[in-house]
Amino acid sequence: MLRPIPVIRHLALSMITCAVLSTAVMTPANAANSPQLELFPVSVQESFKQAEMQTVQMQSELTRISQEMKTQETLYKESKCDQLSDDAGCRQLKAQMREKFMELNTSVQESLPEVKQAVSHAHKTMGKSLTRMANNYTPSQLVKLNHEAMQRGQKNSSQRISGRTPLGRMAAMFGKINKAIGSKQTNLYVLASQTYADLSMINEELKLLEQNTANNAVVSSLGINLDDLSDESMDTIANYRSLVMGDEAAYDSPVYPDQNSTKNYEQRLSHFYQ
Amino acid sequence: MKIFNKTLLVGMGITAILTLSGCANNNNQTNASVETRYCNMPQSKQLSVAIEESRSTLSNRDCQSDYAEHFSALVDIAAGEPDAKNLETLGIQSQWMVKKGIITKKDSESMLRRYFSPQLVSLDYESDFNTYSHCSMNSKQNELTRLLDNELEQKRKGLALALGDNEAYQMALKEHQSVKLLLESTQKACTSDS
Repeated sequence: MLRPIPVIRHLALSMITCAVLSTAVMTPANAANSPQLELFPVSVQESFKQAEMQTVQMQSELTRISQEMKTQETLYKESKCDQLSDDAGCRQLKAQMREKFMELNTSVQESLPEVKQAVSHAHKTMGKSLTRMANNYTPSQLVKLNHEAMQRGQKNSSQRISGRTPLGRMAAMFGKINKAIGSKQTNLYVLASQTYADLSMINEELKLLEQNTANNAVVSSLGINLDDLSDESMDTIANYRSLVMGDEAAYDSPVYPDQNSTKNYEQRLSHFYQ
Repeated sequence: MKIFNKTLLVGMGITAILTLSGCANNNNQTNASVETRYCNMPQSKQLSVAIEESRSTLSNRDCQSDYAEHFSALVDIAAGEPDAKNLETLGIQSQWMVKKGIITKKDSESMLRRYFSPQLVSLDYESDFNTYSHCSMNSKQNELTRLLDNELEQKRKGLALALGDNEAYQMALKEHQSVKLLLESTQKACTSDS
């Protein structure tokens, strides 16, 4: 006949063992399988925060200079200086614009290395994350994962960058990506893909910006007088300023409508082949 | 005289060879034209009649390997009168093909889902894309893209044109866009990392 106390003790011991084992099995493995941690592990999120910080810092330093440049450009146009190239006042205004532009150029040159490093690091960590995922899944499985995310009503909205990417937009982009990672409404697979593609483009833009600023510094050091430069050059300067600062207008990708369930379609079809 | 006889014999031999080869060609052409007549695609623009034509053709064992082209032709014909009921008609045709041993249940499932499900499914039925990691499939990227693009076109014909279900096709289109972005970006990451 079984004695009650040892039986209870045995049962309790089994239950505790089960609880401990299931926790050990469930927590690390399942946590790693969640798309958020799989695609955007802590290292990636940290690199985005760093990149955001660097671009915001750079942008705030340049904002004052940019606003002053804009005031000068407005005055230049309102004074019709583009038609009065011989006017002494216009020549002085041009010289002031020139100085302001070089101030902007120098400031960009000083801040750019840190921004480049932060963005490059974010690009590399994102790339490693995607590679890790691509090594763990077949193409068919990736398609299914994306499909399931869309079925959960998760949207593909994220801040897409296309064409030239002003710093203002870069700073906004990193901020919005960090928010999107934390949102349950985001299709993380598409966000990861879009982010990686955008970071690749931004990396190239920053390289170009670095070359431009270096060229501008050389031109300035050669002492070329702004008076000798054409209005075309003034447009180039305006474009450059726009590239550095740009507008922070939202640059939304098309927001896909809520994905209706495909379950009904699949059920309807299965009637014919089962 | 001897030379003349020899020449005559050679000439007759050449003539005989040419005649026989001509006959063989004719036979081949006749066989080919018979085969062509047997394995015709459905011609009628009316779906029910076209299905009968298709069944008549596919009942010939020599023509059964054309089942996919036949089904595609029937979907095109159904597009001439878009209706949700076309799914029932084409689904029954697929069941008929299984029943006749022309295709397997798996083939039927693959075909119907490619045309009439908003979900992208073609990779599920391709062994390599179901077996190897995406990173290792670098050399097959063009084939991957082609499969997905072909499937989208099949869904356009099936969902949008034959069933008149534009909403479902839009779902497929969105999925196609996001999948292509996902697969291209991850493949670039794999290549950069290696």
